[in-house]
Amino acid sequence: MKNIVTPGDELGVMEEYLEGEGVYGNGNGYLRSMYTGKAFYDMVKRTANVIPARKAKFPRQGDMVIGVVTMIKPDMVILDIYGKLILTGRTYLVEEFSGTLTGLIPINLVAHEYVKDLHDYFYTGDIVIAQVTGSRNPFQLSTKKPICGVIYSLCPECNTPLEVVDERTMKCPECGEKVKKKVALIKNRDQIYSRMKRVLSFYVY
Amino acid sequence: MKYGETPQLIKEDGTRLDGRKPEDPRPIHMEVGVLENADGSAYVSFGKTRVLAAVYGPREPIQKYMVLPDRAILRVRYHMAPFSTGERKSPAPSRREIELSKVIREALEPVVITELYPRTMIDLFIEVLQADGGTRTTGVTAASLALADAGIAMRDLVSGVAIGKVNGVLVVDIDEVEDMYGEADMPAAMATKLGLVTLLQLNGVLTKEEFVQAMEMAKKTLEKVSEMQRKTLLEKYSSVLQV
Repeated sequence: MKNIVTPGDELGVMEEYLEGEGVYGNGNGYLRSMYTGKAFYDMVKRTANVIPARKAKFPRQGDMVIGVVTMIKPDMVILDIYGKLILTGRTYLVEEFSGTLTGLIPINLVAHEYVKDLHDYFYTGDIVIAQVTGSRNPFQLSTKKPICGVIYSLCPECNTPLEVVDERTMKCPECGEKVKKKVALIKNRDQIYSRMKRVLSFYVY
Repeated sequence: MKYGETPQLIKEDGTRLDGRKPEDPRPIHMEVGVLENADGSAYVSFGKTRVLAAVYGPREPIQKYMVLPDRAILRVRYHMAPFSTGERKSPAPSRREIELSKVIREALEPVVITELYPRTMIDLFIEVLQADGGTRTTGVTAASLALADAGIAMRDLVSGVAIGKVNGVLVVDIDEVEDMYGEADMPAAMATKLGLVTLLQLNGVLTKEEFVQAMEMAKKTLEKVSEMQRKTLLEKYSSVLQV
């Protein structure tokens, strides 16, 4: 058996192992790889896995994603998802998708408290961190976690970037306008969105 | 040679016009990751046939009504560059190109695991830079390499080759001249590890025995091509995989 595999290479037979990550059983009794990568046999779970050298970027359940609010309806927020935020210890990694995908935050997944009006939490054009809770294209998202929420927003009066006051308020440094937001409690907010080149080209000027 | 007469395509010693034996393919060259902005890309050449393939996605579909609720849609655009043929070709998609786009899409659909990317779209662009026979099979070969390079889940790699019949002899990987004056042209694409034939067309006439023999020749050649594809992928990712 080979250690490094390409799509279609055999990793074993179905009697030996269960299908793990990046592996499928093709009905002839063989386990085959889906990706170019390294074969990894988990002897505790008895699964055959492939650790891909490169995997198409696609959100999975539980991932943190970065998006821009495009529309606010009475009971949901619609986002364009631009990329994935990978939290590795103290640093962030931003992985951009190919193009955008759509995300929805239903009103019950916005915050822990009762939400009367979504405009007290987001506004069109806000850059938002959210967690994926669904698994198909209009991805259901949640911002209930403290690190989820708005990381960049412009003042509705004068278009200056807002500054964070606390977890529910942002303030304009120019005109002093106070705006209600669901703020992401995460360090270096500006670093996160500045790594999203395409988001930047649209909103930050 | 008089006008309207078929030229001698097989020489006295049994070799073809370019010196190949009937069962030899042209020199094959493959590269992956040639385009910076595509998610996956590949460049494949079979002799003078040169093809570039690029993959984008999975991404948001531009026409939402096309979307499938349980899997991704695969869109393929096969296109010949205006400078790829002897006479300048109009850059607008012709009837032939639209048909080949469909044929190539259907050759790749069985191997791409689209169920992993529901309600999205995977875009595949195949550009023929130089056409010298066998562009659709070279296109399939390049496209499956580009898909694998993009990291899209696949059941197997697809490789293609055209088998022809010239002067009564079955030959592997026919070029433009052999295609034009030959008696038959049979492009075939296979997922060799799974033993699936995903593309099979036949222009001209073959007897039953010849057809069986031609499929055997195609299978033998495609096993070699598939091995080359795997080697090309591993070459690019060997540095990543060693760590």
